[in-house]
Amino acid sequence: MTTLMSLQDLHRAFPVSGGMFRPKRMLHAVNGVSLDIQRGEVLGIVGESGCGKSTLARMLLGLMPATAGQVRFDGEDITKIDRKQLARRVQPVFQDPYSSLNPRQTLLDLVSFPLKVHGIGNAAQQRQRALEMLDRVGLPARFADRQPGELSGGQRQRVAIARALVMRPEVLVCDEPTSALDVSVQSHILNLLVDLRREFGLTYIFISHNLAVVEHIATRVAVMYLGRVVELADAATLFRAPAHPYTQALLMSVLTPEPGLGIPDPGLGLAYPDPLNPPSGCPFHPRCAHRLAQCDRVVPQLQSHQGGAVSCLLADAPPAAALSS
Amino acid sequence: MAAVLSPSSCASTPALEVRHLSVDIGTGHGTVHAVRDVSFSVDPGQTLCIVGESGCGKSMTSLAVMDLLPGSARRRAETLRVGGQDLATASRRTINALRGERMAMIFQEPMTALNPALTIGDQMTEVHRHHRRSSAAEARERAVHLLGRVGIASAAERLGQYPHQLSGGLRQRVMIAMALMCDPDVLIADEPTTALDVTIQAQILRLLLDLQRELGIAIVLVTHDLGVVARVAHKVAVMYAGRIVEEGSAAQVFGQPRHPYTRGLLRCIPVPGRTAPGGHLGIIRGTVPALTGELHGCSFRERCEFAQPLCETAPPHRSDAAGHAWHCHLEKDAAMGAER
Repeated sequence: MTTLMSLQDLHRAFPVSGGMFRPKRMLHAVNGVSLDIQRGEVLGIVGESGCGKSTLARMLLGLMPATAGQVRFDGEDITKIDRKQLARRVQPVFQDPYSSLNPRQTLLDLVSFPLKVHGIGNAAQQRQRALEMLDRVGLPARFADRQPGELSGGQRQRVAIARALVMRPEVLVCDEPTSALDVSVQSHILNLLVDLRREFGLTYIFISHNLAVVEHIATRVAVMYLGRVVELADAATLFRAPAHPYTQALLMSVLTPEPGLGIPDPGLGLAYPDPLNPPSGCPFHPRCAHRLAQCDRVVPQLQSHQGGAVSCLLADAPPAAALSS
Repeated sequence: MAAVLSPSSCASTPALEVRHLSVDIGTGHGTVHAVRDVSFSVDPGQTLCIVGESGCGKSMTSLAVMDLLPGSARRRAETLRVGGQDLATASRRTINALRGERMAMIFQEPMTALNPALTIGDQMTEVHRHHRRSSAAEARERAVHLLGRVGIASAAERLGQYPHQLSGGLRQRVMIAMALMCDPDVLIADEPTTALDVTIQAQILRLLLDLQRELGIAIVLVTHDLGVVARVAHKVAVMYAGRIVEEGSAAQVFGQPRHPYTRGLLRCIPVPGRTAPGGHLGIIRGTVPALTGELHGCSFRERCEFAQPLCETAPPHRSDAAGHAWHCHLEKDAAMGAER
């Protein structure tokens, strides 16, 4: 595998008003993320609301500059790559297909628009390519003149995928692509994404709060907490033997459709911390069931651990001690 | 223990009984038959989960029970009984007196259900003062008690805060505490954890189940999340196109689903250990039918892999001795044999 994108100590901070007469404070949405995205993989990014996963997605797309660190695409700093050039290689699929499609355009216009912007082919070729892509995502030619308002949520998400793929990008950044859809529609979209990846040799960055979906589609998973990656491992390992106490709690919270098991207690007594006022030491320590005395002082670094990486002081301890509850 | 807390908690009377409920909504394109002849009942201390996808009528059913339907909707019901009192024929005054007191509702997005301009305390005490004619001090005392009960620290200070000052999980706890102010018999929860993170979802569901055990409340939980249903339901009602197509215990509906729609739905979700990672999930072809105009036969027939000419006629009600019921022309054995 070769590295396609490389995130190097990436930061993004937002100034937040503290109130009328108070100074602005900084919210560190992404706080030092370093990871490599391999060509052809499906990198799942999971974590609770506010962990920075969507901010990270926007930076990967070049839609938001980093406040520190950089994103490299094929070795090149993306701030140095022309926006249009980058858009040909990295494309987004967002959560809400109702707000991401212009309601006044026909599906053919929507999907051929990127080709027009980039001046690829003449009008007839653009039309042909857009029709082919629409057909590929399951919207045959009779849909071409319809508008998004005439479509169901699942069909709109198909249009969004067709529009993202019409320029044959290498990377698709999917931010909660099926979260707004019913389960029977979600399975169609997930199947489509699985097939398209194989067919076009795509790399996906797949952001979702639905861990069962991530387990299904991802080949590798990054777990984020308060702007940092706390665990990174291939999907099978992460879901079988999570190393970070946060990953363990997160996986325990998942409600699989198995009657009789009751509601688990993930042991995360406290709510998600205020990102404006993050805890000292390990950001997870106030909620951690396994914290050590030094966890409120020592910031753990992401270190390699059983083929993946984990940032926890416990990771160096024997796994039995770390996992016993 | 539950019997001490509420007069209607004797096992023979359901806390909520709904018979032949229908909701029609007038639109510019004709009448939408959103809920069609739905019947169910919930006993004190039990949870009924109404599960289905967008537009199946599950939310309309809960709003119809609470008499909170939009103005364009018309409700018909043969029986709509809360704690033995029939609401189907009751006056608006009677219904208003019961709503908030005997039955309460919590919604998906507490931010839109709470008034942003009023403090938590004002909103919580209002219900109690109105229904119980209590003094401000009494109502406040109850509010502090309940906020503590739903796990909110420094409850007295929280009363002076506004909804926007709380996180989503805390707001949902406030909604639950508010719904419990008058000690209702029936709690209707419409997607109560859908907007929350999985970690907070588990906490809120545990809280609801603890309160139910303690207070003997009957809960109607409306959701699209099959994982939630499997874990909390005593009884499950699967809705499709305005009708309940299958009903039974969680073990029956998840273990031996009878209706082709239920079986299709269960095959669509990725389940670790059961579905192959990166493989294909099950699908249900086609889309939900429009619920306007004259409807006949089984509404699922156009998407059903077992559809036959007979499905143009109304599907029979089938059931087994254990209380598992479904509406389908398929013989039980044929349906099960086709599986695997």
